[in-house]
Amino acid sequence: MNEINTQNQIGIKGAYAYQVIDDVTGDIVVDVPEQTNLILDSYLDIPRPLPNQTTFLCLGSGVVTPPSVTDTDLGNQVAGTYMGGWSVGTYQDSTDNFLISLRSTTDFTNIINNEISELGVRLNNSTGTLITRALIKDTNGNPASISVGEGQTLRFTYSLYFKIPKAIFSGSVSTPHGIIEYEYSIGDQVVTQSLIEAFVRYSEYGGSNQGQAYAVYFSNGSSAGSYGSKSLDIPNRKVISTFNVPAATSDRILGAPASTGWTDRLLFKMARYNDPFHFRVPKNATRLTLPANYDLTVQLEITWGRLP
Amino acid sequence: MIPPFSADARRGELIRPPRFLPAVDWPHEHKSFAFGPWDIGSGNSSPDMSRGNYGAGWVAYLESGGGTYLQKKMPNDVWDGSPRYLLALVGGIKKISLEFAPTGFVIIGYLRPDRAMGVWWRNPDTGLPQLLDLDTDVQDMVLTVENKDDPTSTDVFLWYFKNGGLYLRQYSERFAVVHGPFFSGVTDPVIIQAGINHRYGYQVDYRDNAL
Repeated sequence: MNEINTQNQIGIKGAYAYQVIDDVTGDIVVDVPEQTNLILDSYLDIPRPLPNQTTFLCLGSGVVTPPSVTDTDLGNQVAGTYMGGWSVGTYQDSTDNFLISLRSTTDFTNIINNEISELGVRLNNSTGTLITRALIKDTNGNPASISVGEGQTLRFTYSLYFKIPKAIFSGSVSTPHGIIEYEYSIGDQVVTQSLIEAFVRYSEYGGSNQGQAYAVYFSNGSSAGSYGSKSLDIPNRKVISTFNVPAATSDRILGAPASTGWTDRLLFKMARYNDPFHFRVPKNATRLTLPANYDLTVQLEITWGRLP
Repeated sequence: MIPPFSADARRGELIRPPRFLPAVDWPHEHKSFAFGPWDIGSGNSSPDMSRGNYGAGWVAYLESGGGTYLQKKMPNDVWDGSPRYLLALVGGIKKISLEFAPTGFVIIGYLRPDRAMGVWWRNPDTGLPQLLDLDTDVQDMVLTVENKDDPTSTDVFLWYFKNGGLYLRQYSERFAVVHGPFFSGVTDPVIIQAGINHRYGYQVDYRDNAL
């Protein structure tokens, strides 16, 4: 058995902006741009970029205890409401990574007589697991309180930023049969905003919990399916996906032919809907011949954490 | 009226004296000792009740910046050096009193600079931390556990002086009901300690700074 090990880090960051709006005139009475929000440990315990549960934006009053990553509650919650859906806020395809943000706007219309001082996002309902927490800040970034009067609406625009590394990993591994040069990357010919969005919205790190199907590509244009497994290490924010290319009775050259468009020199890919990650053989690398009766195992390590 | 003094409570002691707890030798504005659960990860997280309640020593202290922190006593008579940020309020805090609910969650009684009084606790009805502003013009207040020998169902009392009279609110009544005044006519009272005196019942010791 031959092995390839690689890794990939995905980063998450939260932010919020708010406005106080006059319900009659539509005038914006208060307008504060984006302020940093703390992603709590409980968020990072979720092994996927965007939680697949419904989210509720909750507000607290009177308490200005600084957020800590171990927080499990707001200091004094006075309101909580369903956040609705997430839409794409920003998207950037930079040299080394993809940056995408998902955005949700939530209105509060009945919080008069409260000095709103903190906010957070909970899962499932307004008393569910708290996954983010922040103090209300003013335009200068200093802790502040929001007073909402009669006939006014408090509108929050909550954003989650995701950084998906493009370069991910490349290198070589020596096997008894030669050297495999590999890149683990996002296909630069086909990745679109919608693919990255789908990855953030629907993917679990390291693939789904069910049997994970992969495909391995050979120089004759054929491919073979394989099933892998996943080992989650939540405390260390790490998942290791393992998949195996079973042995065959004939020699096989790893990597798809260069003529097959976006699968150019494709080595492996997760055969999952919309999964943009795959292994490739670099274009100028020599493709390895996997001799008959030998298999190959690939271990893919993905880590995730907070963005600064 | 003052709550009935239960027979079980007679086994209780006046107070577990804080003189057996380590000194708080770092700068702070005010502090309050109490016995509580075995451990607490962060200020508002669930307590570790695996070794019961009211067995481990804790101190809450107020720093000059307005933040209230919590530390636990270690077996070698030092504080654990791991401040858990408990509470900071809009407008600040003047004085605190620490106790623990039968569920092990922190209860902080606070006096604001304008002498408004309240408690920060975990409301058993909602399961969420809650800031309860309870009264104004309060002269002094202290939290005390009614009977630590009944740690799973004991009540927690909030004793306080207002306009020279002694009043009481109870955890079991969600601090909503005012009992008292039990006596009045004090000018500038400061509560020294409160608890159960096994001979006489409930006891609140105070001094009158006007005397």
